[in-house]
Amino acid sequence: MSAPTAVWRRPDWICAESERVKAGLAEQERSWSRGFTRRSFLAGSGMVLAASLGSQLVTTRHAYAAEGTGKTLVVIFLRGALDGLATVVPANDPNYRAARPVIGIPDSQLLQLDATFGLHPSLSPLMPLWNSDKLAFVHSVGARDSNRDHFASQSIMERGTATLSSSDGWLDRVLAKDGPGTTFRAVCEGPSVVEALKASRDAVAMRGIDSLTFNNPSAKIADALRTLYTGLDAPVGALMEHTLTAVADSGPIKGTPKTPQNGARYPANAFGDALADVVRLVRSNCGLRAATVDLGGWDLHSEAGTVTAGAQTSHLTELGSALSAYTTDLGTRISDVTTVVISEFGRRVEQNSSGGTDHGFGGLMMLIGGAVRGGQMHGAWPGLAEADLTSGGDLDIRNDYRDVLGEVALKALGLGDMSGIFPGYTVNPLGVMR
Amino acid sequence: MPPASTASTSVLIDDQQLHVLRRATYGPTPELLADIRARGTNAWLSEQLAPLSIGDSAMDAVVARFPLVNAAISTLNALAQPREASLQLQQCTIARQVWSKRQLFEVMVEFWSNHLNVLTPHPATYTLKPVEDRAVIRKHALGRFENLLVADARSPAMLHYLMNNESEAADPNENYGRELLQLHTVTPSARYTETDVRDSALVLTGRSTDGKGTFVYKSELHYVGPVRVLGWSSANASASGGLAVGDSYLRYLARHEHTARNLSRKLALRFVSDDPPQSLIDNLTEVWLDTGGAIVPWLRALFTSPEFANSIGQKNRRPGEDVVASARALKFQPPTLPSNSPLVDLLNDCGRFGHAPLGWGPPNGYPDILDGWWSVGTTLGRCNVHRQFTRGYPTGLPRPPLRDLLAGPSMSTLGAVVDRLTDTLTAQRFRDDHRNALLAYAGWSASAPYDQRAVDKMLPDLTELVLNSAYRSLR
Repeated sequence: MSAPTAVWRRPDWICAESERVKAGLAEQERSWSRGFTRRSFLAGSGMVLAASLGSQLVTTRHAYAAEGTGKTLVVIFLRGALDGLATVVPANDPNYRAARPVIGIPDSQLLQLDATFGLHPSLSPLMPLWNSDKLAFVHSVGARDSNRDHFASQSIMERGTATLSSSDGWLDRVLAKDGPGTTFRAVCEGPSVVEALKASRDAVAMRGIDSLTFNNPSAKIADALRTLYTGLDAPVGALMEHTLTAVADSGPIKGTPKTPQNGARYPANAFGDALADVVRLVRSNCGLRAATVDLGGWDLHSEAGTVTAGAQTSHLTELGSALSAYTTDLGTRISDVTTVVISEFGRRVEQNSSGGTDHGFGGLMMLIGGAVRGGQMHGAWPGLAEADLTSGGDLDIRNDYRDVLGEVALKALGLGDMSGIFPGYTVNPLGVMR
Repeated sequence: MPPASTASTSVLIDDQQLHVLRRATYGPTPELLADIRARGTNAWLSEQLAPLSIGDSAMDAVVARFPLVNAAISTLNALAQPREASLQLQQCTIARQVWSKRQLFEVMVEFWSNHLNVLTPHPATYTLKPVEDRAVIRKHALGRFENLLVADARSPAMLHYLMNNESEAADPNENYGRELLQLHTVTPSARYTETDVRDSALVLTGRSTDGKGTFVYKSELHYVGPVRVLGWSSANASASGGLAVGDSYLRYLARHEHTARNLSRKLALRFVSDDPPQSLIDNLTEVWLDTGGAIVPWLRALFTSPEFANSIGQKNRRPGEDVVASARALKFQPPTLPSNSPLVDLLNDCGRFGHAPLGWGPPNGYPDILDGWWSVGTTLGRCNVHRQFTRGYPTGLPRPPLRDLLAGPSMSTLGAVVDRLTDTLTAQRFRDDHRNALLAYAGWSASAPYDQRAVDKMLPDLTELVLNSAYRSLR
């Protein structure tokens, strides 16, 4: 057999092969997708909600937003723990150099951001955003309660709390505060609803708006299904009702041209497709308030590669080219759309013996949008000197993830305040938004 | 002891034998129902729990269509396209779920494959996973967990997936050591520390492969020195003794009460409800501990528990289970032509819903609760697959004509046609309002006289609707 490569590595071998196995399956092979089997983290979300859902869906929905009033928050979750130190790199830092003799990004290759940091060159398509003050980063950010466990840490970040008694997601609470919305106010591009939107169960999970089409051409199909799922003492009844509503209200979005605008060219993969669909939803004025997109493949315990080749570089290239196409496609709507790119935790400062990095602590967030105070780094930076590291070798967390997400949601959606969004926590804005 | 959950008010009828079939198989069929009725639940279960007692020669012939599934590692190593081995295993897994008579065995194979998740296809596991599937998972699926765990810790697929193959004393890769504690056995409820995780990884150093798919214990990579994890410790004094030390550690974890509790909760989640009663988890834990983690008595305790009996309609079919159950309901037969492409079609259907067999990326396995599959897109996609299934897709899988679903004594009304169809596909009558929905869709009056042309015209759509209904999406 061929020598095993880094687990979670993706692209090339898939595109190169010509099996009949198509997009859906290939996507599974590619993805380090989210984990949410932890029943303990979902305690109480099972049966309790079932009864109230049907009515909620009916009473809080109207099909469409008023023209052009929409502000949108897009959350991109990089599943598997992004190596923030390979993305926004401490420049001219001997500690970094010593910790990463093989996989470190050479100073000469960095795209200078400010006096302290440089960007991985694979993200060069994002430099125009930085230079036009629409892109910002927060380093040394994360959840102090996280425990280096992907699933628990993703769950903490998505629920916005480490308290297990709280089973709803932070975006659930944001949307509750936002008030009633449209059928497509919350969309998860992917196979299922993410934990950040899990509790209200009214987010639309789909692989693109065009997928919401019945093969059955009969005008009676929706009525028949609605009746067949009426009067069930089971949550799947609400799911079918929700599905039929989404299909019924999808027409105007499908009528919005699919073609990317402003010459945007997305990479031909599921992540590019998902971002293009988000922009189409924005353009359709369907009342989209929150959208989530996942990108997996970041858990590079081994063979992360170098700046010229390898998994880290190819992943960042994919991320950068897709985000560049996305912002180009958004055009002037970028002033209405705030995008935050997050990951569950950072990676250990020191590379391991496999040429990768193990699970760390402090991570990186990326903010994109016209409302972002861009062209600058935000928050505190502890540095990589041995005395400043935590847990025997990890970048510390100096910036609480809730301070960033809270401010972003508040400003991006024009919420009155952030009380209750993060239980037991008062948001202290870092000034990441205008 | 009173059951913790209240009796179900599901639309599914209170038929315990049907209930057992919905949970212990990939979908009841009229033949299975007749079998369990004739022999009784206990005898049926006993046979299923002794799968080798069930002749399955037709299945063997289907498995033979996927020669890489049972190929020697040397053959797999020589493949120009090693990914093919992985794709054959996925297709064969679906084929076994659809056609094997050893249904409960296949359900448990999936349970353990998911518990000890190893993603395939993946370059690190293309050729290793087929070996693990037969030599570890299938071998121990109804045996003792302890033996499963010990075998898994020698499985090249797992060692590569969680990178233990490259873990060494000086710089251990903690991936496997951590997931072993967190997911495979005791879970964080056992309150292990980061030091425990480190020692867990150190204990496992040296468990590697020869790079050609065969397990090798590399004593030169093994950490030597005292190790302690939770209540287990060892002097671990020699490199040559490291494998035995590791086995003793694995057996300790397998016998740990928190492991018993973790797996009992998972079993209840699989077979009873998304929010299983604590009383059931407690009892299953006790049975597990009493029997040293023997899987058969544990399953027996589950299926004979009052909590199981009271859980009718509390589980939902996941997308892949729906694809398989629908194929069973429509009596798809194995391909008669040499091509396996119809099974690739089924695999693609599962994959499009994010539920290809063995295709979950992270080590925690596919979610087993409805919340994990809450998706408008998938709900609609399943309806679309049902429609395709009633219209000849996937081509190349023979099946009887749909009118066979109406076989039996002659019917005098169109209402009787609807009843016959639901009898065959769900083993019960629909509630009146749901029955009326089918009649309304067809434009039929229940009392209208039987009309062959009307039946021929509407049968595909009605079949599709029954497959779409909650009577089939619940299990």
